[in-house]
Amino acid sequence: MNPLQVKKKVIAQLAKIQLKKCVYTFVSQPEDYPTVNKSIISYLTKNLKFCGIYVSLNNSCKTMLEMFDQEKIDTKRLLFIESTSQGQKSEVSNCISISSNQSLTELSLSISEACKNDRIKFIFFDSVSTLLIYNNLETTERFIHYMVNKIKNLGFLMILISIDEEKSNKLVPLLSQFCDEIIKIK
Amino acid sequence: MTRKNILPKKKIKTAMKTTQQQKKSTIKTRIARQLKSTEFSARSVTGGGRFLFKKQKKPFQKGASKDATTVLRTKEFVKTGISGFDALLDQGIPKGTSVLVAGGTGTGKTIFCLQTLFNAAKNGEKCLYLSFEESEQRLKKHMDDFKWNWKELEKRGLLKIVRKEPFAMTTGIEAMLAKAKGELLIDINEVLEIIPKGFQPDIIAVDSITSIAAAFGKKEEGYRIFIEQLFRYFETVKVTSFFISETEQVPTIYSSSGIEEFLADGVIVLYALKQGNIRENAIEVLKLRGAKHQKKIVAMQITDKGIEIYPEQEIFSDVGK
Repeated sequence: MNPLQVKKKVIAQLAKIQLKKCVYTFVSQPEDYPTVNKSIISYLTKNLKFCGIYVSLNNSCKTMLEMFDQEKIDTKRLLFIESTSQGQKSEVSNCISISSNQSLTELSLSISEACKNDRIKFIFFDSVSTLLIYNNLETTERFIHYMVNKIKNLGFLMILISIDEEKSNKLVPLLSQFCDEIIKIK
Repeated sequence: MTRKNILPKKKIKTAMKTTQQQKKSTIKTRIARQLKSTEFSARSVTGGGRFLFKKQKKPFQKGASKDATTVLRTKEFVKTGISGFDALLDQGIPKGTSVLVAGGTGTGKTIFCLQTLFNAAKNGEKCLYLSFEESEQRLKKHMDDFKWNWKELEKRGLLKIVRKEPFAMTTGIEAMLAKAKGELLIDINEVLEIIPKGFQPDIIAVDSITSIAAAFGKKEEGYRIFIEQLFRYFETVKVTSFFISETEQVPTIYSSSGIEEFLADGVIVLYALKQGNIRENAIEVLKLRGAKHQKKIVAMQITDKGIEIYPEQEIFSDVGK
């Protein structure tokens, strides 16, 4: 699929779903992963004018800002939580840095703290697959389950990103238990 | 002189009985009212433990007699004032009890105790921090780092930090124990001057019993007797005490000899749990006699303001067995 087709598919899926108090997992092909992410964020912030939390376990805040600027996404609508800076204080005001992809308690506390902002409507989690690189399956399952319940109780929309690959696919049966829908983009 | 309207003895007895019954029922009613009005208060009316009699300055309801001295049996509690920690306890730590603060290196035991004492001193309690490890200067530096204004409290005589040499404690203890053979309670303070003369603390922190045990070396028997006497002594002088104990990162026993956790009324365990190549802080109230508490390990962070505890935050690191 070319990026435009991917974008169209993502938007078509987003148009169908309920955009609050729900948790969705988007499973994308490894090569489509950046387009899927950008398309979702673009739709939520540009079309729906939502503010949200972007949890990035793969890119630094600086990289994401550059990426979204290219897409003309208003990054002021996003509060970033990232782990690549390993707890170093960020120069970007809307960015929280956590010490590591293994600091799940710290990550959970940071998300909880960020959720206190009244403008927040959604939490975008990039990605479940990265969590699995640094944490074992059991711990990842526990973390996702805890976060999903917490976000549901708070009434936000949560979007989890997972890559269609062997390791991450082990999580999918479990995710389907507590997510409202698993959306495969292919 | 005899009065004309003297009442017969029987009538006096009946009148006294009625008055006593009325008093009893008034107290009962007031206790019930107090229970209603203090639903979220730190004090409670209980059936056990140590009781203190408190005078209520104000009547509970309009129309109640202003000069009526209401006597209530209340159990008092100590609040640590540490963000999130007191939420783990129903009412607090019962006053006059002993609490073991156990944990591995770098888990925040010293900060936990310093912060508790600092907060208590701010509330007017007299607090004594007995250090057998770090110097007074270093402990004060820790408080400076957290921007705790200890100087004011020290000036007002509410907070005292005293450094003791653990080996000096062992000197003479054996002689003292031999001399006091047969006595149930030795006045340990008379010999060792644990509490400085003229200072009557409400709360004491001992940092740490591990250092004291190390100073005793192979004289385990002497240490056991000493530590038991120390617990009893603090109990007798009705001081709330915190004993810091150095353990493994995920301990199975919480003290050097293993008896301290039985002697103590409470055990608070601090963890620095390993998750991959990082460590996450956590805390648990393992036991607390005479007080209800939550039984779970929760997240803790050492921030630039001191310790913060998140009672609702689950821990994802492996706690082990």
